[in-house]
Parts: sequence; structure tokens; C-alpha cells
Amino acid sequence: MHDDEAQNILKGDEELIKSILSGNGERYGDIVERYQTGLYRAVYYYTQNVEDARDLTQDIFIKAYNNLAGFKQGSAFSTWLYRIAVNHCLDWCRKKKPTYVESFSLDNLSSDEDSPEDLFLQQEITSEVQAAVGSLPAIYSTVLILYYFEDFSPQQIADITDIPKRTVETRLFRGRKMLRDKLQPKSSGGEDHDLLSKPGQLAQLR
Amino acid sequence: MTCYRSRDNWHSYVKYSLSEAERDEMASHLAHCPECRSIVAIIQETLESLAKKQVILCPPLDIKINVMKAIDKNRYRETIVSTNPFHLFELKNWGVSMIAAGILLFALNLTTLSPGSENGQMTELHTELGKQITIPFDKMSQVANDALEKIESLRLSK
Ligand SMILES: [Zn+2]
Repeated sequence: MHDDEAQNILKGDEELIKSILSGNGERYGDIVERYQTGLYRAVYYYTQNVEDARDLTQDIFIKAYNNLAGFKQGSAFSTWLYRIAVNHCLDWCRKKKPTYVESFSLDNLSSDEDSPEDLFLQQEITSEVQAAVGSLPAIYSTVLILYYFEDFSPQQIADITDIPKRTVETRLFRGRKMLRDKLQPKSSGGEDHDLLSKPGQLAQLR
Repeated sequence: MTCYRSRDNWHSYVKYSLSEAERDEMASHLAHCPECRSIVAIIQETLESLAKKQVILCPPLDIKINVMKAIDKNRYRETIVSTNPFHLFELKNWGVSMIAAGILLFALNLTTLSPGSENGQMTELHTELGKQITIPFDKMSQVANDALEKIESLRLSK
């Protein structure tokens, strides 16, 4: 069932892209609609703020459109799109050197206008996990985002990031450990704070 | 004690992205290895727990609008001949050749049209226009030649 669904998405994407490449540029709107939620969410992990997330997401879609002729029919469009996205986000991180701690501070939340966007931001910022993921070195956050939030398999992540599958597995192990350390206060037993799993089992994963 | 397989493809295993043979083999290892079992359990729990922690983040409505405004929707439409520089070049060459051929034909026509001219001058029939084009025959081929050379040099200089 799961496979059928994936197969349908693959076929739908392929038809859309064929149509776009034969001159129906307006149909790209369907692609944007299909992928904007996931892509925007993934980008947000890197930027940690809505404005940059929006700008980057737009840039990624435009870049993908302009390079669409380079997409190999028969392969997964999502993998191809996320490849562009991850590269774009990593470039952005290198240039911007984002200050995760600052953007996460509560001061930023008490802005004068309470636009819906700000409300979203507040809601989102409560996600400790999100901030913790964003604060990890990019090579770890990338595999964690793709695996845990965007539901890609290690093989797909390998295709997206151009690193061997073995390395993806290793980074997933290490990245998860780093994430756990960030979320688990060292002082207390941290039973309430362990957001990833029960302490008893964590002890076994050394 | 650490199982030598504790760093195996367990993340792939959890996402069902292995071949059937591989998966079966790993499953049978799991059956008698509590350490690897706990690893799989932790990955699964992390997946579930992170899914719960994930706040639904709606993309701003203007993403699609801005993207569709920014892209060139005709980018993948078949390009018309006149916009192709290669075709343009070919057309120009053709044009030049046609002019050259025209001049040659004109010169030849003049020579054959008035075979009876004695003094080498052509006083063209009765038309006003005809009277104005009085050209010495012996210079005709020279003129045509010059024109051709000029055209040729123009073409080469492009
Ligand atoms: Zn084992």
C-alpha cells in the first residue's frame, strides 16, 4: 500500500514535469503546491526564522524550475528537489553563519505586531527539538531532518547529499546522540526532558 | 558488550528500504540480539516522538504566487526560428546570395537585350526610366564583379 502510494506520486510528478518541459510552464504551480509544505519545513530547520525560510524556499523552487531540463525522468523528483534544497540551505548557512541562539531567544518573540506569522513563530519556537536540530553541525542536522522529518530513507539521503549510504547511517547514529545530549540536561536525571526516548534504553546505546 | 552489528543499516531497516533478503537476514539477527533490538527500538521511538513534537508549519501563501511570478513560463516552449541566432545567420547569407544573383542576372539581361547596339552604349527604349540607365556595356561585368566583391567582403567581416 505504502509502495503504491509512492508509485503514484512518482508517476504524477513525472507527468507534470513532462507537461512543463513541453511548454506548459503554468503547471509548475502544481509542483510548488505539492512540495512547498515539506520543503518549507525542512528549510525552516536551517534558517530558524520564517522570513528567510520563505525566501529560501522560493529561491529553491525557482532554481529547480530553471534546471528542470536536467532532471532525469524515471528518478524520484522529490530526491532531486531536496538535493537542490539541501545544497542551497548549506550554502546559505555558510554565507550567513546564522546565530541560532539569538534567533531562538525569547526576546525575538515579543514583537509589537502580532501578525499570524508571528503567532506561528511563537508556536514553532516552542519546539525545543527544532532549535536543537538547527544548532547541530550541518552535516548531522541535514541527515536528521531528512530522516526524521522528511521521511527519506538512508539510501535516498545518500542520493540527496551525495555521501555514501554507510556514512549516512553513521551520521544518523551520531547525530541522534548529539541531539539527545542537547535535549537532555546533564544535571538532573532528566526523565521529563528526554524528548527522544526513555533513559533506560538510552543507557544501552553508547 | 557491543555487538559487531550494532552499527549496521538499522536506520534503513526501520524505513523498510532494504532488499527482502537483507531484511530477512537482519530480522533473524534481531531475534537473538537484544542490543541490536534496543537500537531498532530507539530509532522507532525517536521517529514517533519527533513526529509528535513536529509542529505543523504552514508555508506562507505567497510562496507559490512569488515563484510563479518569478519564473519564465515560456522557458520550455519551442523557440521560433527568428530568435535562433544560427538560423538568423543562415537567412542573412541567403539574402546576400540572392542579391548577388540578382545583380548578375540584371547585367546578363542587359547584354542580351541589346545585341544591336553599335557604340557600346545602351539607350534604353522609350521609357523615362530607361533613358536614365545608360551604362557602357564593357563596364557592366566590371560593375557586377565589384558589387559581388563588396558583398563578399561584407559577409566575411561579419
Ligand atoms: Zn546485534
